[in-house]
Amino acid sequence: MIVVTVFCLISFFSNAVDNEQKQKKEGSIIKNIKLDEIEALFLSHKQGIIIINLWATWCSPCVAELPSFGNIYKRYPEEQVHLYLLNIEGKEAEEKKLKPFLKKNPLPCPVYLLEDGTPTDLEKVLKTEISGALPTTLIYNSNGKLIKKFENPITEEEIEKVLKEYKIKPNVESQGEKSG
Amino acid sequence: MRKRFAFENLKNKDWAITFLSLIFCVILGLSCRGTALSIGEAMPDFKLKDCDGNEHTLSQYKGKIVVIEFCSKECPYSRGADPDLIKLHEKYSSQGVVFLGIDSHFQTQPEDIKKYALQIKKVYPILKDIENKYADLVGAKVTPEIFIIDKEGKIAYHGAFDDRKSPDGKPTEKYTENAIESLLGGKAIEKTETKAWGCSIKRVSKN
Repeated sequence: MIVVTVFCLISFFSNAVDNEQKQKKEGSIIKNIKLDEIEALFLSHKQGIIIINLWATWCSPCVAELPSFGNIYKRYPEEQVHLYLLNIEGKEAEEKKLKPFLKKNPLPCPVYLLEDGTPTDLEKVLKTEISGALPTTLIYNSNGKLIKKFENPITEEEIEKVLKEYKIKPNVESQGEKSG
Repeated sequence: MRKRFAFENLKNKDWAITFLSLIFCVILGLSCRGTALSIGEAMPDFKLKDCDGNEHTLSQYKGKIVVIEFCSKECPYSRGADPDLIKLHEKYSSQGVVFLGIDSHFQTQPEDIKKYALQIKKVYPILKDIENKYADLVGAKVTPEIFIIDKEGKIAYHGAFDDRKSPDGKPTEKYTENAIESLLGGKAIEKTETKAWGCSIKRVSKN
């Protein structure tokens, strides 16, 4: 019994430490991504759901909802929720806009910078029509099928509702925690 | 046996209902598509007031090229395009091209728009689209979003102002300017439809 308890405690803490390390390592880093690499994203995940959020630093409703996505990233297992905060401002914005922005508004998760492409190009790889209005959030299942589309700001509760619908549970240690 | 016959009949009726509803849905779907206007279609007329209370209709500009810009002073991306729109207006108004802004934001008042326009020296009329009725009619979604109307009143271009990705970003393709140039030169517009990044038009709540 004691052994089991100790084991549980160890695994619980190591999990928490892992999570923290992951956030330290991945938090706020910028990953450059090309238009033709997006399709591969859909194929690389065998389980869970894929959330793609299109945003820009100049878009205030986008900026306002980023912490919600950060919370989702922290609270759900990474093999179940694949989050891509896809900034559309292009390579030219990396030094001037995105880096200073992330310094001021750190996130627990990485952000992806779309290097090229117009909204029309993006529609093709995202396999859905988009209006171009930001923020836009697209949720796919692991087969790459679009299951939800929000062309307006979204709340943490709305994301959680979708996750619940697809039977995705938060990490044990963050259950009951409301919003990080 | 008789009972079974009746049951089968009912099934057929069900199928007929399903089939008819399917046709109904298709027809409904096709008729709803009407809100998304296509290139070459006539741009619906409007009667909207500018910030000084003067009424404008699209039909009053018939015979002229009209550049309509759905704009919002609340949207950084829309504001970012303004200096270039002002330049385009300076360049092309002398050649008879009409520029009109349309503000459909549910909260922005004409006096706010006027104050902003004076500040940045945006001199062409900005019309107030109360309760975003015109934006709904033509299916405008973002700001800035451009419609260019040819001399016959038909839509010649619809979409982004240019291909910049941030408010002060450098465009590589100037969609609006290229379209105006083509229309003035009597040439075919290369890109008649593009898609714009932008702020969603903040509409009145329908509840």
